[in-house]
Amino acid sequence: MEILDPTTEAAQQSIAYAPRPASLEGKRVGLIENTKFNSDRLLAKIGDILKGEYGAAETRMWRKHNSSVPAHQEIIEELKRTCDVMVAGIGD
Amino acid sequence: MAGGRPEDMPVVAAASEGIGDPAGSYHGPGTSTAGAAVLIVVNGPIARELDINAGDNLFGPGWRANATIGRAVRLVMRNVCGSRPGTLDRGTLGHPGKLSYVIAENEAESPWTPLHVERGFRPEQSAVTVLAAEGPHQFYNQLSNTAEGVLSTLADDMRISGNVMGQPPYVLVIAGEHMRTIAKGGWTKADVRRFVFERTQNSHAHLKRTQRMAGPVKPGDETLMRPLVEAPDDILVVAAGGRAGAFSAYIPGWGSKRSSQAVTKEVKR
Repeated sequence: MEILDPTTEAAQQSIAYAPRPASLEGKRVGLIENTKFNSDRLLAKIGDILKGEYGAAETRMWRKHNSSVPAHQEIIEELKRTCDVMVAGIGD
Repeated sequence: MAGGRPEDMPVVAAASEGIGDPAGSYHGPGTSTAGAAVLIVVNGPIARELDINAGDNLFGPGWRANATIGRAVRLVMRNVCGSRPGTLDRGTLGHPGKLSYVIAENEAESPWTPLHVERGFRPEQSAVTVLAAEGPHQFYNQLSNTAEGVLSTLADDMRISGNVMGQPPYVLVIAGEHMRTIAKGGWTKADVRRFVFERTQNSHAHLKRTQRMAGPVKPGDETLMRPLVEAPDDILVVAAGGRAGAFSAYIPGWGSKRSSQAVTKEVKR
């Protein structure tokens, strides 16, 4: 008897996180809002807290094209060039 | 696994291609708390060859192909894409269409251009149109013998439905009695789209009062209108359902037109 298994395991990928900075002092924070209602306001508040309480130098916000796609490549590229850390909104 | 037959495979393949198309955006509706299912509309000769139901009990049980084709596509989503409840599939409620949501258009009795032909295919080609969609909303009109009458009821029922603010595409499923009434008036699918588009507009004031649109009601909001869909062409019309019974249905899509559109793929033999 031959058994065919249609399920598949995803090929193992190691996601390498960038090393966590020792502190946020002087860091440039990128914020990606996912277009959901109030995500911009929530992230802006988070940005203010990171500046006010954790010493981040500046924050900058990007808006995804819509909530059902990952951030487009041009956002990622610009973010990599101009920011040190980022906060993304992925919820409702 | 799904209980399908080998001959169903080309339809399953076309539907799978459809949900993989970026225009439909699998990522969005597949994971969304809005719990959309994949509506699969089959057109062309393959529907008759595979005995895919286009008539009585359209969304219900009774036809193997309708049940197994949809189930097979869902198993692809679960087992190949990993869309399982609680992990990638975060539907709050979901709906029974996530078991299977397959219909054929009743091309034999419809007076109108079939959906796939409207969307660029030849009548003799077989095609599958997929759309991330909510469950079917049935509406009832046994009073009218005009297209305007039937569609006025539809528009009133439909006007506040789905994601009113997002404006995703809609599918109208027009069953036998209503189909004959509308066609008797000489109305085409385009006429139906235009009428329904015009009659499914909501004022900003109403949307704000009913907590769908943010913000206080401002002067002018009573007459500032927001259409249910962005344009009449975002309403897909499918002739399907039983011959008897004064019921048809509208099916809201998911998200917005920008985030998820209907996709039509040829069924390749």
